[in-house]
Amino acid sequence: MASGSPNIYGPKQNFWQRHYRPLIYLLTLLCVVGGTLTRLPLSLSVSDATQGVFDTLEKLPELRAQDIEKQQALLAEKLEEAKSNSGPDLQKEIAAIRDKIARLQMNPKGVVLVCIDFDPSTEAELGPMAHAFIRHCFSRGVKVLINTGGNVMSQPLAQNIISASATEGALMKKNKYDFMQDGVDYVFFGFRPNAFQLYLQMGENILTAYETDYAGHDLTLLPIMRGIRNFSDIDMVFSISGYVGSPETWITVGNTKFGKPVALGQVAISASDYYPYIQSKQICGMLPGLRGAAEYEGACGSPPRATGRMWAQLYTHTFAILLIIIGNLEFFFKGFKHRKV
Amino acid sequence: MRNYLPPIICGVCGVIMMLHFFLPENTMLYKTMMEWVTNSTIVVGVFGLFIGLASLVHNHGNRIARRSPGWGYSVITLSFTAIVALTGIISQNVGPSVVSKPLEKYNYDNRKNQDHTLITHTLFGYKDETYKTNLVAAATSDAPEMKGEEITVRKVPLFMFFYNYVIMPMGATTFSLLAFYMITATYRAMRAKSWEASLLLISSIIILIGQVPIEEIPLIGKWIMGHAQLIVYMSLILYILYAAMKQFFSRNFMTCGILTASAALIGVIWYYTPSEVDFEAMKSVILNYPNNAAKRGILIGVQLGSLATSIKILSGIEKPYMGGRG
Amino acid sequence: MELFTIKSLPLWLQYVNENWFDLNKLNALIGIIIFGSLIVYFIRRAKSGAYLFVRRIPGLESIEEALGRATEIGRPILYISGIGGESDMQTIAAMNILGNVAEQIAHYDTDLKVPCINPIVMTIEQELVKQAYTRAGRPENYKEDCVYYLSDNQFAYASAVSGIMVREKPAANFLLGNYAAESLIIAEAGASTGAIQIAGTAAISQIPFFIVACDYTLIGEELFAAGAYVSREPLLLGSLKGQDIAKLVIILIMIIAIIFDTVAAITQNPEQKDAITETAALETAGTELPVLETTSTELPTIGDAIAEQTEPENVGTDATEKKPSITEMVVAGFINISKFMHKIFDLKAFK
Repeated sequence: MASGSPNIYGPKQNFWQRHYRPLIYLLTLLCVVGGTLTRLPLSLSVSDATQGVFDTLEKLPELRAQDIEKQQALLAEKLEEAKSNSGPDLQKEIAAIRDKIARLQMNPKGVVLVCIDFDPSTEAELGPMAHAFIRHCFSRGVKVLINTGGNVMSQPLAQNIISASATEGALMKKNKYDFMQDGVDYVFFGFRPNAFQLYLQMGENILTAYETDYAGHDLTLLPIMRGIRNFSDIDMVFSISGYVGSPETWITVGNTKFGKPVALGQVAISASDYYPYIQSKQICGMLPGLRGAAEYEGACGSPPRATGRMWAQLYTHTFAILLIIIGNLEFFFKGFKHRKV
Repeated sequence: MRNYLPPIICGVCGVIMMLHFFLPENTMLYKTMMEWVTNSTIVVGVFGLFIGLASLVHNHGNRIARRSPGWGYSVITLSFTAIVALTGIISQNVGPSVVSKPLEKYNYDNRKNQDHTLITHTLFGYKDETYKTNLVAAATSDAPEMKGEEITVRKVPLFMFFYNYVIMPMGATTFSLLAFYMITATYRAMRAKSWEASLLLISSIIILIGQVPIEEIPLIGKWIMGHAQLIVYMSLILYILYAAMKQFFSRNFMTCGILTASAALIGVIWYYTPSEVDFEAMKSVILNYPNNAAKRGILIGVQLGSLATSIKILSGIEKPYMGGRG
Repeated sequence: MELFTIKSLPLWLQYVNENWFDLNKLNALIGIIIFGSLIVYFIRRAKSGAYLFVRRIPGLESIEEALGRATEIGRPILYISGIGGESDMQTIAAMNILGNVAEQIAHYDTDLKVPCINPIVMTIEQELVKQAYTRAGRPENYKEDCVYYLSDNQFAYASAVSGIMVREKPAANFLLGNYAAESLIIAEAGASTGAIQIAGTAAISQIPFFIVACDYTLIGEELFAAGAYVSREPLLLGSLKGQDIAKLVIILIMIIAIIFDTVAAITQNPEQKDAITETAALETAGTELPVLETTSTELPTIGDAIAEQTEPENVGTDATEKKPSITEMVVAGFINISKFMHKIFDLKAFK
């Protein structure tokens, strides 16, 4: 039996043991409220996991240039081959490579797929992350494709985040960017069921996987989709998720199958699950919880959405440490009696 | 028939899916099968939706009919199920008004035809506000064409209204309960009851400190971090010495000696460590090595367990769909 | 179904002409065959009456105690099978335990409540509980609405379950299956009502929460072993044993791989070292990487890169030009074996 609960079998409990919960709840509430009201700047060091996400995004133009070079080398090879043997298959191949190079050249700054896969409950932690990342993309001129994977409920939330990020840049003093236009600079695909199969299909052809965007426009008519056909035209995947299994799906499909760098945004609770993937280089980085979002904001100069919320976390953590110390002192002075918690 | 058919269906479908796994991915067959699987999942999912709704109505309806304790909650549940479902169906033009203003002064030369608008809405009506509110409330999925007017008033779909003002705060509230529960759980569980528990305790404190910049707390933060090393080492040494004393009185001189020696060792380590403790580096070491090692161990076990369960289900040894052992 | 009409015949013929096996997945096939045959072997042994030792799992032994207490004080038992869908292995494991628990409950004549998050899981569990009551010979005790649907939304479900816990004060809570962030919300609500709580999950990040707030916790694969452990059926026990042996084999392979990899990493020459750093740079840049799947992450990645980079000629040319010393031969052998192992694990099997 967990101690502290109104135990119907165990020994009689004193006043504190029966009523410690409400008091702790109240103090926690005070910490959170105090943190929300504190409006001071906060300096944070950037962890390697966060830096990984940032660096990957910054390197996208380079990656794209490398990709184009690779394709051009391949084209030259094929053209050489075509001199001696001009079968219809080879001609088709050459045409495909040319097409691909043209597509790659259309977005020289890179294309990122952001998977917004969380519902309102985890918005407090993951929302700032999505904002900061999308803004970072916009400020670097990277085209953004957005979809939602696991749940219909994330759809309106994703729409909120995108429209806010698209307009916000023009209103900022620092790190300013133009108004971003739907269908030109970004596109929101919305939700389709059966994420895993859907992602596989996206690897094949995004136009058949989605057909229309969230607002119902035909994808083939959108300017942004001219340079994007399937996963080979996307440079990076950023999956922000509060659901079980969603990051694993992206690691399997995005990284292992299509070889694209995958970055994750995770709730702090489940973030520790994904550190092994950083070590094995299956993901290029991760934003772990609010702290990760705050670090990212610091790194790319976004408005302090998460950093503002960090104060609440700071106070609550300090309170938790204090409670641990108090609990241990209590335990210490009661002696080393065997107890079950 | 009732006993034989389900395992046969299960086995056949399972084997088909396994064969699918081994097919090369660029083949036609692979794609056709994938499409088939996707479609069947959707069909089953839709049936599931109806079953769930039926169960919900049945269960709560019964409770209301019997006036069993807490039947009022059932009334709320059922009525909101109906209301939210209806808001999804009704016309997009029904809903609270919203004011949209074209942002002309922010139009840039190369982008004349902006369809971005500042949208603000408050509960039951509209209010002209600055862009700051817009960040939260720009909830429209499809901004209508601006017709050159200064201000347009239009409707926000009712579903979005519910989403923004009911579902979002409620979901966030439930999730934030976690913070309260976690703190009480921390207080209850993090005690140095044994050697292993002490290890857990120490690493949890390191992670807690490493996760936030404690030195930033106004007034006391700098002082705490300045004395962190002293506090950590002194409490460790005192704790071990206390344990050694207990061992001494219960005449375990061997253990007592070992404990005293380890206290001395910690003192030596303290003497040689730099005065600034880098909790963040310690945090990442803990997360990257011991944490990862344990996780991988569990992960391998879990995967094997799932594989074994799959084999059992495919071969019909276990039949959860037929009431366990059928 | 246009697939099964006469018109689709040309389509089928087209399928026949295709290659039907992805050789990159050969290692997975071999793994499944070895693993499957181990399980089959032990099931046969169990059937023939051999004694198979299974270690004690305290969480499962306390089920009886929890049910007893519930009967004693006349309060219901709450069984939650997690937030996974019907195809989630953890949910299936939880269902297996539910079958056994329900059978015992039927004997005790205690109320059982199973709120579900997934309608399909609900349908299966309804059938399962009904069957269990019938098996126990008490079909009349089964109540139609003991298994019911709450909500599809994770946190709406968590708050509904917490509400049930606080209002109805169940004597025992079973929290088995796949859980995410709502685990602590449910478990703490249960702890505050003073119920006995038996939890079990393979979701690694939720295990600590359960350990803190529950009386007994099944960690990781214990959840999968529980069905066999509770029912004590030889068929299931045999498969459990097979699983253990497979794990032993994997551990052995891991240890050997680590030894070979470490030796290979220590004894490499400097040129190869440069090559490794290059691959590391490429990897961070996110180009085509040699990736390991979760099941094979036990292999150190640095060693992985080494094995990729170790050219066979390096070892071979040395060997032909001058007579190699024994240590060199051993080292070459180590590197070759290490390379071979990486080749096995690096096939596209799980990708």
